[in-house]
Amino acid sequence: MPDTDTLVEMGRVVRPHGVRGELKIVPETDDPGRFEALDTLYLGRSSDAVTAYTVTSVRHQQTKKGPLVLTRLAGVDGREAAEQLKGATVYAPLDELPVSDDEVFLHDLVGLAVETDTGEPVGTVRDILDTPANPVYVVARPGKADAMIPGVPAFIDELNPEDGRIVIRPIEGLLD
Amino acid sequence: MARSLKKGPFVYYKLQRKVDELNKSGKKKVVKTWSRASMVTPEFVGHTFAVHNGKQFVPVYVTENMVGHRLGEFAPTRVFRGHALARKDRRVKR
Repeated sequence: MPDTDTLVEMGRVVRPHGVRGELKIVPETDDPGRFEALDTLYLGRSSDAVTAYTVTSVRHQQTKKGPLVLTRLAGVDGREAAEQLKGATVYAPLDELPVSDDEVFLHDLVGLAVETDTGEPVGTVRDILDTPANPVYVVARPGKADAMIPGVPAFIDELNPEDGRIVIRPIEGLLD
Repeated sequence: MARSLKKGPFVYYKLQRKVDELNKSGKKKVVKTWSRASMVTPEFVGHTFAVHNGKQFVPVYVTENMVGHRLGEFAPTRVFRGHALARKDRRVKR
């Protein structure tokens, strides 16, 4: 069993699919295709109470509301067994997820110091809003209202969780 | 019922005026707006709008695939905060 701190939320079981124990999962990941790379999924109500399941098949379904992942797990052989997992959160261990060098997890950005490209400190990332347009970094500034920075290359010069900093390229009105 | 094609897309006239000025001067500036009903037109692409969501201004950087949608669609008025400290598989490029 992996350390619960290394589990990343991948989705949520909404209901069983069919009578052979297939589960319908609403993905919480940017790319539902990442489910295919996983051999084991951890299901539970919270990350500290999970059970490991071996993945036997993964297929995808496009719906009007967005993509769904249909998964079969070893040991979940019928609709009744699948029904027991309804509402469970699906986790994957961080080290099993394929991460390229130029990618950063959004949750790793919380707490990083933000500065401008001229070296002026702005504040610390307090929260990240997942809006339909772009992620928005909410930056807490001492003695001022929070600044909201769109997480797009037009404004982000450097994302460096290793050094604990984000360098932004602000335009007029962004830090008001 | 769909909006008449004769009228063209709805864009609040003051917002349109500000975007026209920015396009003419070539400057980049965040445009604050309460007009959530204004439609994103091709002139908006590359500009950043601070769209009011009833509480605060949410910055929206407009890209080509947003054209035809309304500004309000990109500034949600209700935000599900999720479960505390949820570590989701959401990533950004460096």
